[in-house]
Amino acid sequence: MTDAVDRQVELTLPMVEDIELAVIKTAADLARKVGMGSVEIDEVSHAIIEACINAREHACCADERIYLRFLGGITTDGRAKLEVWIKDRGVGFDPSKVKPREPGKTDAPRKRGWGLQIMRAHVDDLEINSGADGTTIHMVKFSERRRDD
Amino acid sequence: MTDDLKVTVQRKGDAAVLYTRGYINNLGGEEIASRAYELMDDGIRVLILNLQETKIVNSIGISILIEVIEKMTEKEGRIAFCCLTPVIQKTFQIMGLAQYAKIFPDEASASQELGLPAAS
Ligand SMILES: Nc1ncnc2c1ncn2[C@@H]1O[C@H](COP(=O)(O)OP(=O)(O)OP(=O)(O)O)[C@@H](O)[C@H]1O
Ligand SMILES: [Mg+2]
Repeated sequence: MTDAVDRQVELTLPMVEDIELAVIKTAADLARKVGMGSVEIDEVSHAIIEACINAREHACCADERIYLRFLGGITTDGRAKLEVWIKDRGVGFDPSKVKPREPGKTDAPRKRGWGLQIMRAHVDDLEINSGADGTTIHMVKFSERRRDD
Repeated sequence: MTDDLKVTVQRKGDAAVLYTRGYINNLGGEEIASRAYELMDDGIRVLILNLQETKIVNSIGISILIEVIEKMTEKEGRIAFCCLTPVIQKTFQIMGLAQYAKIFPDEASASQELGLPAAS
């Protein structure tokens, strides 16, 4: 298997209600092209949704735009790989100050504050770069199975 | 491109099944909540949420579902979920929903466990 084709898409989208649906459609199309399975596509889609709604809810940026980059490829051992960068030019935040939620540790279930945990659970690698210029979430998803299995 | 959530309700005596179709975002969650509260005001104390036709959710929508579970628990009623995609089920587990409401693979097993009349 020497399929070295990398497929790349870049998008700039307005921060409007349900814009994440357009984003996950782009991601899914690309992931399918590199042979990713449907459950894995569904997982990375749910991670992308959380990153997009965070940008819309928390970034408070003047330009009201989300900048996206998608890179699909095949690993040397034949697994599908999708990388996504989700960037806003908003206020930024300190991820080390966001406390992880613990379900069941209180009487009442926690209602908010799950987005980052959902992202981490659904992808193989998540990197957050945030500062005064805004926030970039970089996620990587691999398929479990090799394409020729 | 809109994928507005549709909710339909089937009443079965003092129980009900609520079927969702589409994206459970904040608006979708609110739609489910308002239908569920209507049913609770009407005396329904056993509610199954069948998510068969829902393929995507977000944390805001689910946080509203948690509120619905809390309201029903206050009224000493019960809520169960069925027909979740693997990823939605995983998301429910992360958010701890599985600890406050039961999750069943299909409506028949949910109905049986909650004592509803057999699915028609
Ligand atoms: N793009 C962003 N810009 C600025 N702040 C952010 C951004 N993303 C996340 N944050 C900060 O990190 C916190 C945690 O985000 P997370 O998604 O985990 O929870 P939430 O958005 O508050 O609630 P939930 O996602 O459960 O609806 C947010 O409350 C916000 O303060
Ligand atoms: Mg969030």
